[in-house]
Amino acid sequence: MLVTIERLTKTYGKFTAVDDVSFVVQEGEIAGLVGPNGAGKTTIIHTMLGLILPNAGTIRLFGKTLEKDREQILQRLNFTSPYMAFPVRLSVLENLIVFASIYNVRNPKAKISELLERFGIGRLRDKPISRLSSGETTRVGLCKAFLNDPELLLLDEPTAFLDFHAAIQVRDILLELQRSRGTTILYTSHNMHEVQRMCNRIIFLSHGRVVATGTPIEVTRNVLKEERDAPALDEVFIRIAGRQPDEAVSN
Amino acid sequence: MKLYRINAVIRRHTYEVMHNANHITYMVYWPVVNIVVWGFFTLYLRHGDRMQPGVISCLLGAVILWGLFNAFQRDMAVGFLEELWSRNLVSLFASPLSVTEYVTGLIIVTFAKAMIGLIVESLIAWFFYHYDIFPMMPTLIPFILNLVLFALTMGIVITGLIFRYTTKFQAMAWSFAGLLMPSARRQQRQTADEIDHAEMAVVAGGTVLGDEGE
Repeated sequence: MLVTIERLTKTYGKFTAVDDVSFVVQEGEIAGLVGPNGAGKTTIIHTMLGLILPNAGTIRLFGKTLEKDREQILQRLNFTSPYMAFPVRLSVLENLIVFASIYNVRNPKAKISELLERFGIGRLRDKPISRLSSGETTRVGLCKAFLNDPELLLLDEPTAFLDFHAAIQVRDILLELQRSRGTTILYTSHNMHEVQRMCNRIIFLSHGRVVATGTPIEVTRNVLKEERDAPALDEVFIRIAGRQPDEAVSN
Repeated sequence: MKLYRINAVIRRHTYEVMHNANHITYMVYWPVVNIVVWGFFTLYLRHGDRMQPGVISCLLGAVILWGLFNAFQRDMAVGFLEELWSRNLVSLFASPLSVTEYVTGLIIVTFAKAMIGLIVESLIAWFFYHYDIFPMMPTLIPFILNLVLFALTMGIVITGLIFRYTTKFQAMAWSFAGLLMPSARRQQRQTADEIDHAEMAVVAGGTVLGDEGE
């Protein structure tokens, strides 16, 4: 298993953001970590990156723990989210050069040019981040995420700030890159169509707990308790989002 | 610690200095204002024979060293604040970059910036007020290192407070040195008196303002 999370719990005072969550992600798969706002998706991702310390539970990435092998683990993965940003006065190229240096990327300018072209923002290379739209900044974040050819990619709502057309473009690029490089992706999103299209497996969260896991069709059948021929994650989402915390039952 | 990651932090802050005029203001403009104001003040003191010459020259030396302390402490904290303002912290620390590597890179950039300020102040003091601190530099190195260490400590303490309590504490980055100023002046006066008693003019190698003016 590339990712093994066991009984992960994170509390902030009396509020439990993540409650006894366990799941695994296998090598080469695209797993969707989905759920309504406040379900604990970002907290789990940040805990996996070592940005937040959990109160209980263990996280193993590539069979290692962050406490012992932080540097080796983080060298092999990458992360992006539209909610993080870049220093706004630095140009796109300068920002990416800084991250390429952190990851010790060989021939960084060529790599950066390739990624910028791939994500359709080659013309923005020398523009400061302050002059980019939020969608363009999101694409810069995605370029950053692929700089070190990660084996594991954590994407926190990567298409949240993109228009419909741009979101489809980015989704197709991600799928293409995943197929060509075999990258494992853990993907969070509110867009159920996107999740349905992209993910082999889904981990549905609600109020900090895992309420359903499986393929999109399995999750649809289990949560809606109906025989369905096609996944209906929108309905699943509405059903789960409407539940009270004490109704969230592990599946 | 990996050198290439420290180099990445140095690059990041060097790019920021290149693009952000505020850094030039911090690095050059404020030291210039500081030394000009205090330089005029020493001229005023000198012409009226209001203070002994050793004390006057000590005052300019103290202003230069105070500038170094202030710049180092402030730029350490502001360098970190810039990551907060630009919401870049998550990206940085979600990478293999360690806190030690980040702080080391920031110290190197901050030290270079503070030294530029020190040199600018020293040149102005030398050119306009005939106060030459350069011959004293070898003697002052231990004091400078001591100041840098203290400024670094203060910078890290303030950075820690900002890290813990976010930007609520950001005003400390600029104002904290001011809190220490009264005690620094008191200490400086004691030092000046001691130096004066030990014939400061001899120690300074004949560069004391009062001696030259008369």
